[in-house]
Amino acid sequence: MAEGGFPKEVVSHVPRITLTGHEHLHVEQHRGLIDYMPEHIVLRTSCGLMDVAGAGMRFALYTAAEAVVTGQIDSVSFRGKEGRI
Amino acid sequence: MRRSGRVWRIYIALEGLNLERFVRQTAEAGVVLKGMNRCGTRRLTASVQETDLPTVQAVAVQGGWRLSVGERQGVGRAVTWVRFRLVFCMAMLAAGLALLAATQVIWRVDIVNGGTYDAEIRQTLAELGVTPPFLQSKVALGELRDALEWRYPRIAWFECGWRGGTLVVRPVEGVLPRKDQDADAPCDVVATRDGIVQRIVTRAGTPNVRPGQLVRKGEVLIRGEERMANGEVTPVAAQGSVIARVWTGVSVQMPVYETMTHYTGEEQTVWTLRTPWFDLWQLPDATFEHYDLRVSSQKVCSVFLPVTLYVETRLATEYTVQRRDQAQVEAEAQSAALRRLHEKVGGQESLIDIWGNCSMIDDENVLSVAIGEMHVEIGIQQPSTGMTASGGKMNDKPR
Repeated sequence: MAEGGFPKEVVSHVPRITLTGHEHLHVEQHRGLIDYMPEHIVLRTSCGLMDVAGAGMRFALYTAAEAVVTGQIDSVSFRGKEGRI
Repeated sequence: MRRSGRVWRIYIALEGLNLERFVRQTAEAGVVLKGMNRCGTRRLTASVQETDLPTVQAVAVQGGWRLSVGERQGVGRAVTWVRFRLVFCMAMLAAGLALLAATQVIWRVDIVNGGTYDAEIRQTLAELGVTPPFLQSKVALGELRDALEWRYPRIAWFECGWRGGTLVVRPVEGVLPRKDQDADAPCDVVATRDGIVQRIVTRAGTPNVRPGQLVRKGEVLIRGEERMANGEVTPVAAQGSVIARVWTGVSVQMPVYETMTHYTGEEQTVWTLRTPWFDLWQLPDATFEHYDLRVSSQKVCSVFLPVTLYVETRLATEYTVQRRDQAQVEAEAQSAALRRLHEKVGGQESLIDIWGNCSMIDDENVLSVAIGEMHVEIGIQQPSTGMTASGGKMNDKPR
């Protein structure tokens, strides 16, 4: 819990990432798609660039604030501080 | 269109460089992308709501991407398919509705094993308003069955049911139980048929005939009365057994000339679609003077539609008349007469003597007569009529 009793992702726009098994990734509060290929996806977040590696990945849903990735997901990692390119 | 746009999604394909920027811009414009898939380095496919298509097109034009709009997705695709095949779909819908309506209609009435009641039952059904075609829901089978059973008390029960578009009515004739004579009621024993009395055994009553006497049907054999010691005559229920010699005969007429049929090999096959009321087209007349028929009838659609494919094959024939061997015809006629005699007698009575005769009639037919003799029980109880074999009153003394 963050200050004021609110969750941190609500007040600070940090991404909330939910990985269900190896086949479903739900990302909330991202800041845009940087790169997309079936083998890797790069999303910009407030925590930096989020790399998703896998195979046969596709977006089941993509909006300005939410993305749902399906397919084989091997790893999720961050790089960079602010996510600027 | 606007309303369907809220529901239907549509495929798009985008080609160009930096497709990620297109994705970002469309998402920032409020477009929801679903099923986004990268196909190679310069191609991306996705689906968007139909109402968002102008926004997507504007972004694509502005960024220089090549946008291709595909077909609708899911139910919307089916709607598009139907829209461009409206006449076909309406025809299919109409056919479906017609078939559904046809299944609710009864087109004919079949009376199974109606026998002598067939025409009468049809008339009764017409009086009850059961005249095809009619809606199946208009007729309650239970009420119809009750009405028929009330109308025909001699019928044991009726079976009514639906078979496709046919109402099937099957009367089951029962055998009414014989109303036994009241054992105490005065009655006579009378003859059920003509014959010569062979043996008479009286258990109650007064014998009215003697062995060797010729009796006619209906004559009193044992009177229903007994004379007491004091001379008083008391009515009783006559009981006894009366065995008599009886004869029965049959005749068979058989022609000496026979007609032989020869097929010429010529055939004519004609067909039509037949309904219970009319044929779709009339069959042409036969091209031969004499012909045999081979007929087949097959339902076209289903048991619900009363349309049958009627195929008639006409086989041309020629007739020749020839005289048969008279002795052979007489043998066949005699054999047939004996067979009919046994059929007439049945298995309950045995023949003790059989004889027959053959004769020629008009030089064209052989008449064979077979007569059989039996010893059978001819007495049956019947309420007293007051008449005896001799035509006298009951109180007359036996002969």
